[in-house]
Amino acid sequence: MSENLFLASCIVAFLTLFLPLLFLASARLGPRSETKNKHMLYESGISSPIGTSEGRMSAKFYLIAILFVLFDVEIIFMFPWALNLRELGFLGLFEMLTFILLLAAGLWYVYRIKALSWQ
Amino acid sequence: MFDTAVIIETVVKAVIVVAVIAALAGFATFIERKVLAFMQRRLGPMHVGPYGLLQLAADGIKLFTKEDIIPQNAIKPIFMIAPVIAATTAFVAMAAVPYFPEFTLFGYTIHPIISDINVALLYVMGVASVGIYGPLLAGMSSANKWSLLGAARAVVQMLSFEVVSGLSVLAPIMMIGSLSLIDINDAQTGGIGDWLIWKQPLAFVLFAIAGFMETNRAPFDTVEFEAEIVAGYATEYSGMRWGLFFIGEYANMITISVLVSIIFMGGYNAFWFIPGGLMMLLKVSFWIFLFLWVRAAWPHVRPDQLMWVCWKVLMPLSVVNIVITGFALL
Amino acid sequence: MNDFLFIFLSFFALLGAFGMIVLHQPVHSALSLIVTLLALAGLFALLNASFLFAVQIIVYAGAILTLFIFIIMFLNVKESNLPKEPNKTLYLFLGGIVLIPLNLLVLRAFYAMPLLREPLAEDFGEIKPLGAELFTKWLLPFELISLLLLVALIGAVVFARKDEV
Repeated sequence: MSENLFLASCIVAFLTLFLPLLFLASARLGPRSETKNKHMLYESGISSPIGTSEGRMSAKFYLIAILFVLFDVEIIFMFPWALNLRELGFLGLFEMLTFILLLAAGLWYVYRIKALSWQ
Repeated sequence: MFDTAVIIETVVKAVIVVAVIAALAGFATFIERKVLAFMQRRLGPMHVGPYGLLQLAADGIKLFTKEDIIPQNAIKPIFMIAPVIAATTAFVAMAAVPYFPEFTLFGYTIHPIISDINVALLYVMGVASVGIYGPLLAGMSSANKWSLLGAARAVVQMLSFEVVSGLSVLAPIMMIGSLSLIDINDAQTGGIGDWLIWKQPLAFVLFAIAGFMETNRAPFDTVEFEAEIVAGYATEYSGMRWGLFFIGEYANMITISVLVSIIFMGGYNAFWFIPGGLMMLLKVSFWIFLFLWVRAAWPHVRPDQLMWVCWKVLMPLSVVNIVITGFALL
Repeated sequence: MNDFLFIFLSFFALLGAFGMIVLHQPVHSALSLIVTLLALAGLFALLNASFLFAVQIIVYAGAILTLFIFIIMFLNVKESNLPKEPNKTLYLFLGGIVLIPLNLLVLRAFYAMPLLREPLAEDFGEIKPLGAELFTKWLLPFELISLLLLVALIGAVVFARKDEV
């Protein structure tokens, strides 16, 4: 069954890889011209770009990415539980509640020190 | 292990799905322009062909023949593959999505799904999460500050909303007990009253919001909001490379529409006298229309508001929804 | 066909791992690591381990590697600031030689494993039986995981905020 999926996604991936290549090759059909400013960075029409892309960014972005990794792991663990909800009964529910509460405590801490508030 | 027949069947299905969705994605751009125009009391494209229908072909020819520009300073190989990744992941996600009820053609039963697996929902989520690399790599390889900002925004928002969509989809799964989209569809055979939207209204709303976000549609299109960061991660892209991002976005839109229709709105079950396949088409069209309607009607949301609403409102709500569903089911 | 797929996937897994070490730019290394992770996901799919397959894609390829590339993007290390690696090939070669005993050990451990006598259950490795097992037999480790995640969360927040105030 999973093999079937693997085969299928390979085929689709191959097709969709082929499609863009075909599309991109079609760019050869059109005329080409080389001008001095064509390959310059886009800066809303100004001829010399202001600032570079080399500045450092806020650690907030990084924090969100880390939070996502942790919550993603949590969600992944919830899927096997959700499928077995009826079989596991209340015991399973309370297990999951403990799990959620521990992470909720973490999230509460994050709210509390205002790590998620963007000014 | 594999029959040759299975391989041929899969290839044929894959070709059909990719071709149809790519064509639909193109057609959706035309629909979008028309719908937005009518909502703003304009006519939209009118000059090329009857009712501007051939505008689609004109745009296509223009896009196909445009010169392929790679800006200076860009990290070339990464700049070149980023749009391909965006388009490919959007299509690969469709391998596990069923579109219609099974039907018989020339005495041969056809399941309109490329590959029927029991973890379809996780698979679609996983491929969608890999799709983040498109914007991310595009932004970081362009050597443009707008692209970089756009990529950072795109990634942070898509990640945040992946948490919401994952959590909100858990509640329906708890009720049905299967990750297969076909099983989810089959659990809602009893007419409109059986749709999960009535039992899980909160999960439905959360999932729909997350869907809007993951496709970068208005009102959450802070990723490519012209007035703030030019065109976001796609600033330096032009011609067909930009077109690939575009196709990817519309393909994602169609996938989300299909997912919402199957999980919450009864999928491809026949309704009254309307056959299931038509029902599915109607639902998906409705969702595409809703995407456009929202774009016409809602103002943009600021990125900080977006993060606020995601982490402080939607996420706790979805967790509460899961807990309530758990207690209600037991 | 199964063998063919296995060889195909293993080839890409090894190629990605090799590229990850050899390539000079951190972004390229991270990208080839993605190739390895996706190929491993395919290997799990071949084994019918659908949960591991999903975890591999969602958590590793989708979340952790995104974080890696995100950080590489933010650090924005320029070509001139990358460390010079003059004798890289030599070091790689020597490192490979040093690791041979370890690899032999792994191989021996692999051959020492008992062969599987009776066939596995039909649904072995799928999500539902895995969940049933996880939430009955392996309860304590599961709850400990949440504690671990909590610690990681608080640690990340503390580090991220340090240089901000």
